[in-house]
Amino acid sequence: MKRFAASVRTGFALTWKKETNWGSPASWIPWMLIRPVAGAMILWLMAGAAGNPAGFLAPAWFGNAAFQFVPIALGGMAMTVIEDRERYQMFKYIALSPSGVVPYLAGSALARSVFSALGVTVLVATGLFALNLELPQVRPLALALSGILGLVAVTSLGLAIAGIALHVARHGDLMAESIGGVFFLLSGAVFPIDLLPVWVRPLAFASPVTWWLESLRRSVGLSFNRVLSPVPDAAILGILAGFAVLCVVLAGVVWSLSLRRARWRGLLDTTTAG
Amino acid sequence: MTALGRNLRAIRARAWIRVVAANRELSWLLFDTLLPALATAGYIFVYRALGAPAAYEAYVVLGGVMTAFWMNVLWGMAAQFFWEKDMGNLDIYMMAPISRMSILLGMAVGGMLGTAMRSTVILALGLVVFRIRFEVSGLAAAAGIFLLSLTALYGLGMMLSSLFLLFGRGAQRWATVAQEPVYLVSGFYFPLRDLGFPLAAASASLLPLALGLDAIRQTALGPGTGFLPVHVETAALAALAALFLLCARRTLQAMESRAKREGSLTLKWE
Amino acid sequence: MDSAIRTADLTRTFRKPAGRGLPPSEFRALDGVTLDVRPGELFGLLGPNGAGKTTLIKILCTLLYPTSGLVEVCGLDVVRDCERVRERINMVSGGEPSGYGLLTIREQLWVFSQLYGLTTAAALSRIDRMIAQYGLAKDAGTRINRLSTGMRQKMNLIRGFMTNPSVLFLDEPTLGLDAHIARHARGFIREWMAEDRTRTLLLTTHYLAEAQDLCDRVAIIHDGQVKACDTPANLIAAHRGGAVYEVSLAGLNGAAESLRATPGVTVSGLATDAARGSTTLRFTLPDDSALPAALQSFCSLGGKVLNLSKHQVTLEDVFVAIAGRSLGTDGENA
Repeated sequence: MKRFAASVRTGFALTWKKETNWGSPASWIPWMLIRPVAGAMILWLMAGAAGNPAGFLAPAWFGNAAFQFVPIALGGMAMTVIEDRERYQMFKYIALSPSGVVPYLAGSALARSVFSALGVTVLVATGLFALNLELPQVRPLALALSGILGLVAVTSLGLAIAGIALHVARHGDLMAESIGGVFFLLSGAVFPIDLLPVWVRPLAFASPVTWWLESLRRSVGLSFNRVLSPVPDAAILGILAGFAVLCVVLAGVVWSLSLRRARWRGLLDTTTAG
Repeated sequence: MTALGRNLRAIRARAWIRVVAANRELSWLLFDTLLPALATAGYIFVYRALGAPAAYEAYVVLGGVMTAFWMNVLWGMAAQFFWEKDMGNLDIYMMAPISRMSILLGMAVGGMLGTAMRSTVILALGLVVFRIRFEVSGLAAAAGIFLLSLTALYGLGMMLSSLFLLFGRGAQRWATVAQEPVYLVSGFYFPLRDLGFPLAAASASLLPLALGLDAIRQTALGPGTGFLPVHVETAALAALAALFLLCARRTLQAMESRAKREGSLTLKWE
Repeated sequence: MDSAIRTADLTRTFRKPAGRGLPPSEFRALDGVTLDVRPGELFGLLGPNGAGKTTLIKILCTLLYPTSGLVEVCGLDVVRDCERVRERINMVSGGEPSGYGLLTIREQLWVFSQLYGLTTAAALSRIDRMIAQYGLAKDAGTRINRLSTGMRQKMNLIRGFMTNPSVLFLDEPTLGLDAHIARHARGFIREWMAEDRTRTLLLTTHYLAEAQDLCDRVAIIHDGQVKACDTPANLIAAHRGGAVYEVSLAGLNGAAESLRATPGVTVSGLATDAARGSTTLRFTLPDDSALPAALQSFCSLGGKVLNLSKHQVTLEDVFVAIAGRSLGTDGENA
């Protein structure tokens, strides 16, 4: 257990250092604030360009704020795998350490989540106090439960994707952005999934992020997806819990199979520059 | 072999690496082409949710196409000196009797395979799935402006690469930080003029992407929401292209000299 | 051109930024280095890690500016005429990976040949010949990320040789290679030099046997300064240490310390054989008359001498006399 905790700490500390450019505050404060704010500003300007129709900005803004976690949770561990393997060439040493890769990646994911959380906080505060957007009815318990279950689900998926990253070339460092983009489309982060073609909707329903965002919105009294409105709040939360369990199991299976296969193929210390 | 011949060979060889590596690890087709195209589609749905006119959806498609080139310039070219350093190849390039701009150009040309594929997929998505229509009469002019924008953009990328040469990881972090702000001030997903005159003017003066995209939108989609008249934007783009290419050579030399003085040129694993 | 490489009073300092509670400081990696390497020479820079060898090579290869002093390669100033210098040089480093993992050996070499303007036909013909010559023919189509360290280093050597530079720099070319591959690599270096007598090669190493075996002349570099420069034979002949002895002792701890405390004695090697319970010491005396005092130093501790022999002075002994310490790596790479 001690070894596990030490490995988590190492993953956290190293990722924190890397993300903050080895501790330079001048680099990490803008990183924390500018990126998510600029992204949200795009949304705000798009809404403004279209005349700011009623009922759009609040659920879209807060959905976008929560979505900040998604690309990082999904792609962050994969980025760590690729960076440590190709750039620092340290991945093989982590893989052969007694505690293995998972706690190290968990620490790394935790560090990135802290950054995301800072961004989310800034966006929520901007929405509430600068744009005067309202959260009609906040239910703290449901909000906390939704938040935790959703994070468990997406972080587990992130581990599965890190497993796939073991078999992907270094251009996979764009994985976070790319995979985030798919969930951005499918999960109704900034537009209702009602707009998706009927044949794409099953994919949206199969995404835990869809249920996570829906559950979060409902726990603050916002609604966005008409297609999900017949489903009661408790059922949404139940589906999210089911996804969380499924994602944990899936992550365990995919990660261990991927790691075994990567060992067999000799990919733990490969470089794939081009 | 003349210096020109040597540099042309260097460009070809560096581009060739990209093409071969891309063909040997096809995962980029998914992560660098298909998935980013889907993200662009997300912004189209935002306009649909907002009930915006169809022209706005076309804005998003053209913005998505230009994003692909910006990503190639930033990560496929400017940041590459930083990667090459860590892979142990920068020494080899730096002591070879060739211009640094040839290596950068080689990377950019090689990266065009992926970039062209990504932008084609986004364009196809717009035309086929979202049924976006462009004004055929303006397409030739749009293509000309697009080429001019690319020249300026790659000049800017070469200038940026000198920062990567000197500041390494620091530059990489800043480039990551600047990604969304660049999307914002370039008006990738909305008309540039919606930024307000001061910010739009500042952006147009620094980022060829902003000017180029605005001019292309005006020629391919019809006037109405442009920031400046097309001929003004085209002239400004030409000026930026010349300026950036000239400055790129200077800044590369200056930053290389500084890196050699400070001993950071071959410093690895920052 | 009188000199292939010439440096005069070359100094290079690095600034260390301020740390936690520490003010900024300067580190002098090269301190007044003066060297003159003649065309056609295989010149060795011998020194321990951190002696300044790689810094010197980087300056000569135009990758780093000198802080002060004169530096010329092929009669050209490496700062002012760097582009013309680059047309005439190449460099290979040992122990550091380079290249693109997804390319094969043959492709990789072709890419780098293009930076020097070789036509594809000429490059491929040269590459194929050298690949065969260096025993890589059956691996020519293997991707770089699947190569062993030895194969990778052979490829790197071909990269340096194939562009036919007037001056080639090899920075620790056999670092991390096993004795067999290292011997092969030294063979390649000799062959390449023999092909054209105008070629100049500067090699850095901390393997004494390598320097003694390959180099026409050797400069011993330590703490950024050239301490001695001559042919290995002349350096040995000029060695004033006198006599070199090797003694094997049974079960005696503290023999080395006792010997070191004896005036005029320099210990240059120590090996223990745990299975036999013996210790072997190599030491230098000013002359044979000092031997009884040296023997007394461990006999007085109750040690039993198993064997005592007198040896020829080697470059290792010269290095110890000059640097005051052993490189301790001679045997690793023989």
